[in-house]
This record gives sequence, C-alpha cells and structure tokens, in this order.
Amino acid sequence: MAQPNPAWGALPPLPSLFANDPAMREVVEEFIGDIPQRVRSIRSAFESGNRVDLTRLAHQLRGAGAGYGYPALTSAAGALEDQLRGLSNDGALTAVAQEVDELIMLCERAAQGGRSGSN
Amino acid sequence: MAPEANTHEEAQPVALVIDDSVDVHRLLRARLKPEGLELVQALSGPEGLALAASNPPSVVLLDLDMPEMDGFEVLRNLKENPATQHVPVIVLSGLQSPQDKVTAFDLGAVDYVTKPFDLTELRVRVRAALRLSQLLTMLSQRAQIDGLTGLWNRAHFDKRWPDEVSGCVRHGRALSMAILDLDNFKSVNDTYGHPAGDAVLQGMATLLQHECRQSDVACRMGGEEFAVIMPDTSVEAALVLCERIRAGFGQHVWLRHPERFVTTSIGLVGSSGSATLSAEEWIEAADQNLYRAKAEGRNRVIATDVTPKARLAKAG
Repeated sequence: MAQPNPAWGALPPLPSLFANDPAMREVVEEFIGDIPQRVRSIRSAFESGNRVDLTRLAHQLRGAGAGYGYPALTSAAGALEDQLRGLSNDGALTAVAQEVDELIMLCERAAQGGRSGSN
Repeated sequence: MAPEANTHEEAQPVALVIDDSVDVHRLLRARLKPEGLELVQALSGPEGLALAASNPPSVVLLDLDMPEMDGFEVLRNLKENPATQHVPVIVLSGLQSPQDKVTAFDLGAVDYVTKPFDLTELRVRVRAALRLSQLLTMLSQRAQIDGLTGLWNRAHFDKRWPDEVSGCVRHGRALSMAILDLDNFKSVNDTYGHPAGDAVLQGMATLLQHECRQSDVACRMGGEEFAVIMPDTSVEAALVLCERIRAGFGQHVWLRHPERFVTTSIGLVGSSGSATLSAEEWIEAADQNLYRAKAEGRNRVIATDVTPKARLAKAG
C-alpha cells in the first residue's frame, strides 16, 4: 500500500479547472512541478510512521488543492486529515493507507494532466 | 502642515500575508494581483510581526494554524503594538469551530475566511476590509481637524506633541514650537460680529498654510489660539518664520473691516537638539513667552532657546 501503482498510468490525467485561466496558469504549473516532491514526502511520512508530518502535508493539500483548481485533491486530503486526527494516539498509520493511496493517485493524475498539456 | 485630504487612498495598498503554506502565498499572488495590491509574504508568525512593525501594511491576511507561533498569538501581538493595532486583519483558517471564530473576532480580526477559500470571495472581502480601514482612517483624521479653519485641532496637537518632543530627546533633533494668540480678538467679534471674527480666524489659518513647510504642524488650539510645531527647526529658523507670520498677519486688510487691523502675539520655544524639557514644560515655557509678548505691548514674538547650555532669551 502507498507504493507506486503501475495501474495509475492507465487512469486519465486530471486537469486543473483553471487550466485556461491566464491569471492562474503560472501558479498551477508551479504546483504541478512540486507534486513529485510532495508525493515523496507523503510516502516517506507514511512509511516512517510520522503522523505529525503526514497530517501537516494533508492539511496543506486540503487547503490548497481547490485553489489550484483540483477540488478532488482537497476532498481526498481532507478525508486523510480527518482520519489522522481521529486516530487514537497509539493508532497505526496503516489505518489510513487507503486514504494515502487515494491522495497519491490523484496527485499523480494531476501531474499527468500538467505534463501532457491536457486541458 | 494642515491635514491633506485623501492621502491614504492614493497610496498603493499593501497586503501582508502571514501563512506557513507556500501554496497560499502563490494563490493569493495570482488572485489578488488584479486588485492592485502589493503583496508581502511572511512564512511564520515572528517574521510577519517584524514586517508589520517595520512597515505597517494596509491589511493583514493571517493563518491561524502555524507552527512556532500560532495565528492567535500573532493577532494578539498585532493588536498590542500601537504601530499595527489599527491594521485590519482577515483570518484565513482551516479551523472552523465557532470558538476559534469567536476568539479571532474577540482579539480584533475584522473577518474570518475558512480554508479552502474561494479566491473570488476572498478578493471582495479584502476589498471590503480596505474600504472599512480607509473610512476609519478618514474618520479618525476628521475627528482631529478643526471644522472652522481646516487646521489640525487640539486633540491632534495633544497626540502629536509628546511624540515630537520624545523624538527630539531620543535622536538629538532640533525642534521648535510656537503658540500664537490673536490680540484683542474679542473686540473684533464684539464690534463687527462673529462672522467677521470667523473670517479673521480663517485668515490666520490660510496664512499658516501658506507660510509653514510641509513638515510643520499647524493647529487651532481653540478660540483665537493657534500652535505650530516645527520639527527639525532651530529656534533661530523658527523665529524667522514666526516674524514673517506676525508681520504678514498684522498687515492684512480685512474685507469686512478694512479700517481695523488685527495683530498676533507669539510665544516661541525651540532647541537645536537634545532638549531636556518635558512636553508639558515646553508648552508652559511657550505660554510664558506668550504672556510676556502680551504684557510687553502685543504684536511681537518672544523666543527662548532651550538647547542645553544656550537658554538665551530673545525678543523679536
């Protein structure tokens, strides 16, 4: 779980709702450029059991996703953050593996949307 | 010198964004650019407080959930610092509990926007906060303007003068202050009526606006008494200005009573630097000089140099 999934390559790219907004193009591209690093950070926090970092990363994406035109990212990151905050102190992060998977998949699709130039 | 209208509106508004998320800075940059706002970014509370104190912005957009120092603490600090307490603060936060909102408003926030926020909505909220802040600035400025003459009023003098004196003491700067009182003003009112008296007061205001420099602060203290604060001005230079005011005023021909000239007496106190007088002592000394000017026959300037070791009385 939370490992690169070859099947995602087959999923359609996820374009930003603001792909055609000239005022937003530059910042959306900056966001897409940051996605690989964010995915690495999410994966690393999950695998090392660092709940604080994982919560912070989810919180940031929840706040920012819709702003860049990816409401699905906000929903997925929100679901992960809520799950994490609901975990008991000794709860293992494996309980949120599905939410982490879902979030990473959407990030990869968003990055694909940017790289393919799809609007 | 006298208050200028609309100076606040003419400057480009500056929005200070205090948020630990790079995304928020990016998105706001893209969305607020069309508003003509200059954006300044701070990635932490302490950084934001330092930027706000050194150059107070027109509006602050503040995140609550930040490591190191949270937004409530930042807000409390902003409201405790006289330099930033009037800057409107819009809270941007993922925290949505009613208690968080109540706390933010209690601490002085003007608005609360929950994340993820709609940027178009945020844009109009920023615009509304700026408008409110401009109106409040205008209102507080109006409350310090004398209605008859358009000069600053006593309230402004009382607020401004101690700051000027402490600047003089702290930085060793020159400073002078004059109190002017129109001679026999009551008889002008009694003889020619109050509209004529008002015209004389307005005439003095016009003369002060004409003669004073941009950095001088001309005030109507009440009745027929005026004061001029002259920052960075030695008593010698201030005496030249006061003499010009005295002579110009005394020669003015009044439309309502061309046969009657009106004169003014002036008490002046100044220092070329590092004066040891308190603000109150300075006013008292200027008042004493004014009484002397009246006692010695009116229509004159009595000046005292309170530069340490100088303290020479001069009569003009």
